[in-house]
Amino acid sequence: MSVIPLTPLDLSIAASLVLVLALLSLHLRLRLFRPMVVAAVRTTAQLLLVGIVLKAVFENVHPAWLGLISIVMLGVAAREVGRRQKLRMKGGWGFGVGAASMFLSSFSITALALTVIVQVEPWYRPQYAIPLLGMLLGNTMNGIALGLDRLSQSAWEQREIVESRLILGQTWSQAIDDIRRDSIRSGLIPIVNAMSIAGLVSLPGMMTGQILGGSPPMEAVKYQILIMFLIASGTGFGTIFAVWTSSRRLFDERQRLRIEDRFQRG
Amino acid sequence: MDFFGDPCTASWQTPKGDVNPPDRLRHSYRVPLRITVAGEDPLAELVLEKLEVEGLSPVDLTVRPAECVALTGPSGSGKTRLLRAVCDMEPHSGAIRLGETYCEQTPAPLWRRRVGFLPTESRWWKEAVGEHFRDVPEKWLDRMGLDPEVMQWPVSRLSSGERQRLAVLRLLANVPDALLLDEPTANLDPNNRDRVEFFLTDYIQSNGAACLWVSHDSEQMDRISRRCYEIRDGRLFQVREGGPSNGRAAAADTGSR
Repeated sequence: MSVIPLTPLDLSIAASLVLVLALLSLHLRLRLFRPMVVAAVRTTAQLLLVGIVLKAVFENVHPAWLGLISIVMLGVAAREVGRRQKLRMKGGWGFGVGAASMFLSSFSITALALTVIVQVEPWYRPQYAIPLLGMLLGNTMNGIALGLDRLSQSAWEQREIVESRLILGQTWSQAIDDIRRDSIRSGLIPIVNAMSIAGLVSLPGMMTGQILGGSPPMEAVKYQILIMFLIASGTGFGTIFAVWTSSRRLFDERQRLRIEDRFQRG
Repeated sequence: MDFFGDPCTASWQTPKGDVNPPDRLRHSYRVPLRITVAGEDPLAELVLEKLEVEGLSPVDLTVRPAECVALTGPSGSGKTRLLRAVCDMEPHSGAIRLGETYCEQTPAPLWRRRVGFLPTESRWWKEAVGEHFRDVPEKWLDRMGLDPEVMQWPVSRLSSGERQRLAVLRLLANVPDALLLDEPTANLDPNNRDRVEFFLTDYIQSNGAACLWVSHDSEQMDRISRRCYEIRDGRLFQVREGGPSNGRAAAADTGSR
């Protein structure tokens, strides 16, 4: 059993639904007409582009292609982490910390999954590597963005408290401890919630895809469990690393809080 | 003046170098909670050498052990910035030392415990008052006119005066060797102002702490100090020097150079 191919007409019917919605929003003056149309066009264009790229990569299996695509994905994700911060680190630090923590967590976990768990032959087979990495990066990105945003916002709001603690002789690490713990928690809570509700409200996207593609449900379920665990650990390690590194960056070598000159409104 | 209860009665070590504690201090003062590390000056002068902070011309100032120097000046003149620089919370150039210990060579948290800075407004971050303290002698609460149960209270229950008095205790619980006080009695009623003043001057004397005390109250400056400086147009001027003083801190000055 294989997937029933979709014709351009099928997609046009779905697109017309979005168009009707956009027109309705114009009528209701939601000021969403343009953003919605632009977003719908972007979805189509971006996914078609990805399809072309994936098709090409699947036909030319080579680690270099995989590497190139991974780096582009990582770069876009790191930029997105920065874009989501209301208060972000100056001078490329935001991008650097985001990229480093996603690289450390997502890439190593994907490598582990490919070589040890699923044992794909060869390990760089793009049908496995790219979707796995994509799911990990996407989720890790969310966790890191949430954690870092919370960290910089709280440190800003509580800067006088942090300074008081430093003045009383606490180390930078003690002075930021509560804030750092809250930030890591806020990065991790979504994935913990997702794990506890998985399958009860909605079927996870990947599993849905596999089932639509004709896989036996139990196989799809096992893959989904694997993915959930990988995502949880990737998000966790990535967020902890990113929040730790950034919290150090809040202070200078004499352990003074420097949020006002090292961070800027985004 | 047994202000601190009955802590161990420590004898002064003979300090190395030129620090010469006043005779009366050497023989009669009790030192609370003080752990004297061998080789460290038990009495350390606070010295600012060409200390430069943004908006101020270089400051040279020596505060002797057990001496209280008053600092005044219009608001915005840089008094707070100067104190923050001395406890290394503000970037600066020049040198700061406590006895023979230089600020730059000391880990920042350790320096800040030795050079205790009391900001104008205190901040509290835990639920209960007691969570901000490691250990405070009960007598301290009594001398400050605080409820013996105050450590169990939530911070939100404290009045502004109680907060300020507790902030003083929280700082002194670190047993700092020098004190930087930024208007420590600004928002207190006369009764509590006297309590805090008395407590602080007594700590300064019995611990031989060097103290910089920012105040806008000229009567208070007369009470607590003999030497007084004013910051005007980014410069430090001495407005009063030595002479017999009727101040409480005067006792600490006798015998010093």
